[in-house]
Formats: sequence, structure tokens, C-alpha cells
Amino acid sequence: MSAPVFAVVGHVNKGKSSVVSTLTEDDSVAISRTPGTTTHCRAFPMRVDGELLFTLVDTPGFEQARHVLAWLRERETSAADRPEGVAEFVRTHANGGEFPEECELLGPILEGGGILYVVDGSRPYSAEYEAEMEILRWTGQPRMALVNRIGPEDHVETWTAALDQYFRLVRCFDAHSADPTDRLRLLDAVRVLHEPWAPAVERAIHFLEREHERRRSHAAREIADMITDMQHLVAEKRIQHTDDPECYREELEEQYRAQMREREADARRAIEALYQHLSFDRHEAHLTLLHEDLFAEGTWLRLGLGRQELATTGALGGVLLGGGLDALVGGASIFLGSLVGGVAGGAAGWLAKGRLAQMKVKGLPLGGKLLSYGPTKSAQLPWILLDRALLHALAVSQRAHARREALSLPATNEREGPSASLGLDQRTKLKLLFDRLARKNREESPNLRHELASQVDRLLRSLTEGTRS
Amino acid sequence: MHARTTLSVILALLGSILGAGAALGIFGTGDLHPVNIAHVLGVFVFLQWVLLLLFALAVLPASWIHAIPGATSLQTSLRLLAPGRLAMLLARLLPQEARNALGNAAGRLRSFERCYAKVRSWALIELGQSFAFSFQVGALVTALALITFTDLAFGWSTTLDLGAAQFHQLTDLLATPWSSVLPEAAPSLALIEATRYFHFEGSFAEAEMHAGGSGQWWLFVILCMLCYGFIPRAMAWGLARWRLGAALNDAPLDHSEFERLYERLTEPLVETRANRHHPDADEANSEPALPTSRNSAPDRSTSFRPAIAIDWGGIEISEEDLRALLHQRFRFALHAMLPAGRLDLGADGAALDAFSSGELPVLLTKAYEPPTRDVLRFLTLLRHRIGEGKMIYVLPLERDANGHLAPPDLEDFAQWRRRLLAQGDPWLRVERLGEPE
Repeated sequence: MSAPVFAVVGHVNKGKSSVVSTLTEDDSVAISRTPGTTTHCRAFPMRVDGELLFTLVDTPGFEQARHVLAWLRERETSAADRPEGVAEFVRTHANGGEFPEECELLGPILEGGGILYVVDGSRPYSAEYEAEMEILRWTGQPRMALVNRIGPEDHVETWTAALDQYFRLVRCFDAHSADPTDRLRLLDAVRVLHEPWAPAVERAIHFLEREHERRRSHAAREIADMITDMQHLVAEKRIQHTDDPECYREELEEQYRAQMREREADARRAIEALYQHLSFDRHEAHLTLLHEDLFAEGTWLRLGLGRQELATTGALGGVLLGGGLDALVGGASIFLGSLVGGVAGGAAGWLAKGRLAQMKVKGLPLGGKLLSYGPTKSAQLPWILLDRALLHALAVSQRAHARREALSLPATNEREGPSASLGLDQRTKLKLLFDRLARKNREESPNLRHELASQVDRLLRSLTEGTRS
Repeated sequence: MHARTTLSVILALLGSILGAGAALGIFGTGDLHPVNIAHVLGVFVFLQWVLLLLFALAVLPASWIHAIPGATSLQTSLRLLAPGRLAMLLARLLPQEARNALGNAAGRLRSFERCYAKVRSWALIELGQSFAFSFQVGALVTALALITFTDLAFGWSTTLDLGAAQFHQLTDLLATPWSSVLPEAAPSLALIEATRYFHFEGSFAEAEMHAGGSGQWWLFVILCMLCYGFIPRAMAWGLARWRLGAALNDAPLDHSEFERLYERLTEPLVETRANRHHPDADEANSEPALPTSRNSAPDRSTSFRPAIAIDWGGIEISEEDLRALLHQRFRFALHAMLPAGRLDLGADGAALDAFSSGELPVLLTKAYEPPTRDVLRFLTLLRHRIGEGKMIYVLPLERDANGHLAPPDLEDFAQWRRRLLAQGDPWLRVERLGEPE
């Protein structure tokens, strides 16, 4: 049995291409309010390791359904002959040019494809769509209707009442706000459209679920790598022996920040590519939380941890470290280690919030000096990086591919990073990880990075589930 | 106009340069061999006559063309070679947006074509003739300069088996217009016999022929260029300018865009709104059921024009509301409101048949439904029904959340305008009801 084909059909400008773009995660699909943007069928095969599971076909919109139906009815003999009547229509008009859109969109259906009929549930239902639905019914192919919502109004109920009479299944699917779960749910509905197609669609759903898990864990690794790299980042500059290092402090600090921004941007691009978002409109990105500069005041005010949380987390981390020392000496220190660790950790958390890094000067054997800025001393920076990365990864993973506007999150004035809402236990674990990563060289910390990636993966999972609920 | 003037200047310069280049090529043989009269006659006499003949074919009225055997086919063949056709083939390679833009531009030109076909034709012909005239000027001036400031030797040479006597007959024929007034400008048989030149031998027929003698050809050459190139081209150019002026005078003004402009220019702009918005206005004012344009000026005519509205696809507007709307906005008297665009195609036919007494058609559509081939097909049938020159009004309508008529979304309206513009119908008018942009 060949892989099932699903033709996405409907009236012009009802969101067919948006539905296809979202379901196939392809943001190169041409979407425009100009009618007739899609003039030819375009196939989107879903393959796993080269095996074709199913194909979605984007089609041009109906433009003269009434006339097509009139032609069919004039030649109707019996209900059993209707599919042949539609085929005869296409054969008659295929090269004539009178019904180019209808001939094109009926092609994949006549070749045995299923039908996904898309309507705009934000506009009132009207009887003129019945010609389209009737033509599709004549084909005799398995069919379901998707009620898309392009505008703000809601006429879903009246649409559903009409569509139920022509289609085996009717589902609401907002192509612009559908998340991965919505897409899988839709595929699950498509699965029951026609029994022989169910195994292929089931396999597709299974692989897509695994693919989502894989992407999430890869994104977590990207984030962990980024945080680790940023913690070890050092900006360097060679100067003459006679030059005053202080003259270069500002330049070096700016170089350091620029490298940090670039590293963060690299990680973002990698995550966007993971989720197949390749056509973001970056030039028109609004200055929302997601696109604020890494070192902007607003970023540091709204993301990361507050002073108190930093101090608490630092203290608890210190206690655990100190407790480790106490344990090493068999308690002979009478838990002094824990006490000192707790105070030191809390103070460090309180004090280290504002300092990014220090500049060091080193003489070179062959003359001159080497200025270095970094690595960072800021206890807040890893939390800021984590929050930004989590918010970005969440936005990207949930974003429907039909959307063309810039990626953004609504800005608020409150502290809104995910880390601020973590439990103390989880925060402490992360804090310890950050500290240990900062102390070790990059090459010495693969296990720590792996552990950080696991933590981030868990966070991403809970955030994703949180947005769905 | 500025663009047209610029184009004229460029064409004139180009023509002059090409003419000068042609003259240099023909006359500037240097010391290699004399200027071949056969070349001069070929380029500046016979070729010019062929081109003038083609020009005549292009400008002859259709009724005359039909009377000449083969002329219509030739005219059609010439049109097939028009560079514009190549553009249509190349346009298929462009992206969708570019194709849409070209389609809109082509539609706009087609709409003007139906009104201003003659103006366009004569404008193009006039530009072509100015180029050709400039060519003649460039060639003539260059020839005169070379004759005056260099030592040109003329001869004649041909591969054909043509004797001096036969060549003399040809030159006599060509010199007919001036031979009685300027006999010295008609070459004698002796000159012709003496100035025959053989390329292979690199010499004149008569070895004693001297350059001064061979130079006697110059007056004949210049007069040929004048009589058979310069003057006819000047006349052709004059004819083209005269016909262009006549076509402009005769051009009709009942184009939909002209009508809209005329209304805006001739009707007074009445403004009564306050300069500042009242803070409580939004609460105090209820949504108007029938929005009106700020310039809801009456039409040119003083009486109400009869109109028939066609409700395409079920707008759900009452006849009473529609009557008031059309009365206020266009000074139309609504005679009937008919359905079309429904499942039953018979309704379309009935709507078309209703136009028998000169009523103006007003097509009401849903603004949010993009214009499809279906509605465009109906508009074409409607045009056939009511004939050319009669305005068809298309009103894309929208409803707000409360069900009241509201100004259509700008992008929706723009889509309707673009698609209808591409139809190339100059008497198709799309109106956006509500606040102007």
C-alpha cells in the first residue's frame, strides 16, 4: 500500500498554506493575503530515514466552484458515477485554461488522496461554500474539515453544523497558534479518516513525538554548552609594554560583551534551526524581553534571581559545600564548615550580583603585556543566561510555522524569568552546577555539562507542560 | 510629459548618432577606394523607401488596409514581432509578486487601451518618426561635412551585370525632381562611364579619371538624401504629430479614474468637524449604521440616476438601507436589488437580463472574500450585456462585530482594486465606503 496523500483544499485565502506550513514545520511556504498565491500543487512528504510515511499537498483555492458543480450536475447519471464525473471534468478542462485552479486541486484527490478542507471560522458561514463541499463529496474520497481562525470573530458553531453534513470529521485548528501538541492531535484525527492509512499516520505520530523529545534535549544541550562557554569566556588584548592598561579597559570590556552576545546569538540560531524556524523576520524584531540586549538594565531587572534569592541560594549552596567539608573531617569541625560556607555563600551571592568580570594584566616573555577580561565573576549572569535561553527555546518550540512576524514575548515589569519561580532545591542544584562549571576548565567538565543539560531539559519540559495547562 | 520629452531627446540623439555613423560608414572610405554610389543609393534612398512603405502600412486606416491585398497579413506579422510579446514570455520566470504587479500594470494599460488606443499608437509612431528624422539629419550633416572638409572621390561599382547606360537611366529617374532646375545635379552618361570602379583592379574604368571629376557626384548624392530621405521623413514626422494631436482631441474622458478626479476637483470640499476630538465622543456617539464618505458629493448630474444593485453572495443588507446608501453616496435611485453568486447559476442570468433600460450596475461584494475568477467572469458577462462606455460600480462591503456596515479593511479593499484593475476595463469603478484613507 502506498503512503497516504492528504490534499489541503478550500476556498481562496482561508489559510490552507498556513495549515500546511504549520503541519509540515516549513516556514518557506508562501503565505500572503493576495489571493492566488498558490497556483500549483506543492507536495510536502513526511519521511523518516528516507521512508515515506505520508504526504501533505498544498493546493490552489477554489475560484469557480459553482460553475464546476453545474458542469458536473449536467452530466450526472448516478451517485456511483460521480467520482468518474469529476475525473472527466479534469480530463476535459486540464489544458483548456478555463478552470485551472479546480483542475489543479482535484488532481491529488483523484489520484487517491484524502481531503483536508479548510475554512475560516472567523467569518460567517454562507451557502456559496456548499458548491465546494459538494464537489469534494462527489470525489468519494475520505475527507475531514478544519476550521481555521484567521480573524477575531467566532462563527465556529455555524460552520460546524454545516460541515458535519459533508465531512466525516470536523476539527478546529488555528494554524497560527497551534503548538506541537495541537499538531499531533490533528494527525491523530487524520489517522482515523481511513482505516488503511492508520498505520502510516500512527508511525508518523510516533516519530514526531520522538523528534520533539530529541529537539528538546538537543536544545537543552545547546543551552548548557552556551552557559558553560560564557562562564569561561575571556577577552584578550596584547598591548605594548609602555601602554597603560587602564586605557584599554573599556574597549576590552566591550569586546567581552560582544563575544558574549555573539555566543548567545549562535545558540539561539542553533535552537531555531533545530525547530526548523529558518525565516524569522529579525530586522523587525521589537524590543521585547526576548530581544533586549543581554546587558540591558531591563534584562537584569526582570530576569535571573533577585538579591534575596541569590543570597539564599548562595547560602544554601555554601552550606552544602561546607557540609561536604564537615563530612570529610568526620564532623570534627562541628559543622563549622557549614556555617562558614553558608555565610560566605550568602555574602558572595549578595555582593557578586553587580560585577561581571575583572581585568588582569600579564607580562609577556618577549615583551608587551596581555590584558585579559574574564572569566565572569557574576553570580547573576548564569541565571540571566538560563532565563533568556529557556524563554527563547520555549517560544521557538511553541511557535507555529505559519507565523511570519518576528518572534517576541509580551514584556511586563515584573520579574518573569523561569528561574525566579524555581523551588529552592532546584535552584540550589543549579547554583552548585554553575559554580563547579566556573571552577573547572571547559575541557574538564563534560559530565557537569551533561548534568546541566539534564536539568535544563527538565525545566523545558515543565515549562512546556505549564504553557499547555 | 517630462518622461516623454526625455525619451524624445534620447531618441533624437540616438537617431542623429546612428545617422552620422551610417554616413561615416558609407562616405568615409578613406584612400582605399571611392565612395560607391550604389551604397549611397542603397542605404539612403532605397532602404528609406522600404521603411517609409512600412510606416505607411502602419498608419493607414483599417478600411484602406483591407483594400490592399496582403496588407492586413503584413500588418499582423509586423505586430507579432513587437518586443512587448517577448516581455510576456519573460514575465513567466519572475516571482509571483512581480507577476502580480506586472499583471496589474498590464491591466491598467489595457484599460487605457480601450479608451486611448489611438493616442497610444500615434504617440509611439511620433516617437519613431522623430528618431528616423534625426537619423536623416545626422546622415545629411555628416555627408555635407565630409564633402566639404575632405576630398571625396565618388564612383560606382556593382557585381550585377549593369551597364553605364542602365545606371544612367536609374540616376536620371532619381534626379527627376530637380533635373529641370539643377541640371548639373543629374550625372551625365560620360560621368557615369568614367566613374565606374572595379574593386579587383582598384581603379576607375577610365584610367585618366581624376578625383575632381569623380567629385561631381556630390550634388546628386546630397539631393538624393534630401529628396528621398530627409524630406519624406520630415513629412512623416509632421503627419504623426498632427495625427497625435487629433487623437488627443478626440480621446474620451469617461474613464472611471477621470470621473473620480473630476468629482474631487469640481465639487466643494465641505468640512464641519471640530479640530479637536471631544473626550466623551466615543461614549456619546453610537455607531452609524451607514457610514458616509467625508466627500459625499453628489454626482455630476443633478438628477438621480437609476441603478440596479447585485447582491453577490448574500451581503445581508436590506433594500431600504441600500437605497439610502446609494442615494447619499452616488445619487443613485435604486430600481431593484437582485441576487447573484449563489449556488443557482440561473440567478446570475436573471440579474444580467435585468439590465435593459440603461440602469447603472452596482455590484455588492463581501470585502473579506477575495475576488475570484467567478466574480470576474460575471463582470465580463455584465460588460458584454451593458456594452462599452457604461460605468460598473463595485462596492466591497464589510460588517463590524455588531452587524453594522463598516468600512472594509484597507488590505481587502486593495486586493479588490488590484484584481479589478488587472481586468483592463476602464469603466469599472471600485469604491470604498466609509472614512477616506
